[in-house]
Amino acid sequence: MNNKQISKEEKKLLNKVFWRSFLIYGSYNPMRASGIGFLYAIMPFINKYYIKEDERIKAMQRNAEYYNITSAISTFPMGIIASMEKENSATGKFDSYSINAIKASLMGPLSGIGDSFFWGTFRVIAAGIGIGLAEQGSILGPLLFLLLYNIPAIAARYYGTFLGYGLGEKYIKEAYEKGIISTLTKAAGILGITMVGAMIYTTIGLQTGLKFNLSGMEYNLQDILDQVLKGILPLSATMICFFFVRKKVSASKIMLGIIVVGAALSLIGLL
Amino acid sequence: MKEAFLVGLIMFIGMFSDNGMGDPMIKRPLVMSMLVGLVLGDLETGIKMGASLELVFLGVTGIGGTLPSDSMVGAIFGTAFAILSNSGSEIALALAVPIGILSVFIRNLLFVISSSLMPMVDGFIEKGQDKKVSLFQIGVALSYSLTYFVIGFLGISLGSSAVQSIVDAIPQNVMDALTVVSQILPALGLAILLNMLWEKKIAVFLLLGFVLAAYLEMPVIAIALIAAVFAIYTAFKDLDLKKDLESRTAVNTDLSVEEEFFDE
Repeated sequence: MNNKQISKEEKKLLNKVFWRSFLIYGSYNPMRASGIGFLYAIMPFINKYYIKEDERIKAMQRNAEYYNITSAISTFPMGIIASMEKENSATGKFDSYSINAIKASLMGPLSGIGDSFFWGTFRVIAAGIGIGLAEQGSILGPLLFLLLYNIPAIAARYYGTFLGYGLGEKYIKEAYEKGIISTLTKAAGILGITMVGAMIYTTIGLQTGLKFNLSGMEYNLQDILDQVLKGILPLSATMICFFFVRKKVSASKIMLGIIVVGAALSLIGLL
Repeated sequence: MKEAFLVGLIMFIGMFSDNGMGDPMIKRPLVMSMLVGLVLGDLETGIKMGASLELVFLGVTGIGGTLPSDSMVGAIFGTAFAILSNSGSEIALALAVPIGILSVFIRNLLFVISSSLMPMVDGFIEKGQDKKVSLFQIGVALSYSLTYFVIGFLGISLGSSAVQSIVDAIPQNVMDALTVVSQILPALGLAILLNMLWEKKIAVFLLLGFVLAAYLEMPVIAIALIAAVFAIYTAFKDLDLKKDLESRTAVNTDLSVEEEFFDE
């Protein structure tokens, strides 16, 4: 990774990405998580390098999908994707699929690392020191807590932007030049799909609380479902949505369906 | 009135720090309670309560943009009631409970509303209106925060018993329905993502990730590493295959040259 290769103009854009990334959770919601935040942050790159309007719109669309990542390291994948989008705008080398696959494959592992570092380690250390001082009523407690957490968090956010971009510039370009980008895409696709499978179970907290009596014995529907397939409800919900997405039913219609069906199932006591 | 406004402001700051400032831990009890102490004129109690509440909520993570209502609202109201009523932290936290329930309800409502605005944002994107996307991103962050300002303001000016009666007035099944809907919504986001990654030949890996998470309850990192094993193995196989193909086509072109030679 050689920072000298990054031009002044790119540096300026990367600084914009860094600042915008603070807003990544701005419109956080269960449907897209911080997907719109991701797009918002890398928008300067898309606007700068895509001259043809239809290509610019395509780039916007593929970067607005579901995305969830630890805020402090969110700039690392942003840097990588920014470098890919820039390359793509000039050469059209990467299709949407490879950009999406790489983006999705980074989300799970990076969030895992980010959460355990920042939530699990830095926050707990900072809180431990802060609590000790605050117990005696010292204002240093909360202040030190903020400093100890935010110095590494902001450093990671800042350097992550450039690190990700540098890696993208060097390795992903190289991968393309050697003709192995399709291989990389395939590998990223495997990683991405596996992580989606895991996220179906970890992010959709759907369970039924229905109990019923059969000849004096009380049965819990969730227990029975768990015996059939653990997590069958989150999996079915996703596959049903997926079925409609494949049928090209618009997202707003599917969402309306979720609201109506979800509320109905809840009212009759099934969920 | 002034106190209610200031506590509302702290709710706003806590919420906005999460949504609009990259989650710098300002929303944590250690900081929120200190600020409540500061504006209510008893800084030391605020700091001390922050310390004990931080310990209580240390395990509550609320990772990744999930609105931090429980620890944040609990800390702010717990501290505010403790200072305003001169009571201990346990009683104060109990007073904060109905407000906590109300804020969870409102959080789910906001989540469903904000999800239902996604098609509108997709419309902006389809027309290439990136300025509107930015405005939306900032606007929703501010609206989330403003809602928390209102909860803070009402909670203090009405008191916890009035909030309790508001909570009682919301039918339980409406609350439950909202929770269920916001639990299902990620399924749509993941389905759209899956659609973009869908390739028949690798689709079976969805099952691998799912089974590892559901049955083995593995942490994400472990699942990612297992997926990486398959990904790297496949990549090397793929590269070998490519080399093989290249060398074969090279031989083929040699042959064709020879054939041409003989044709002459």
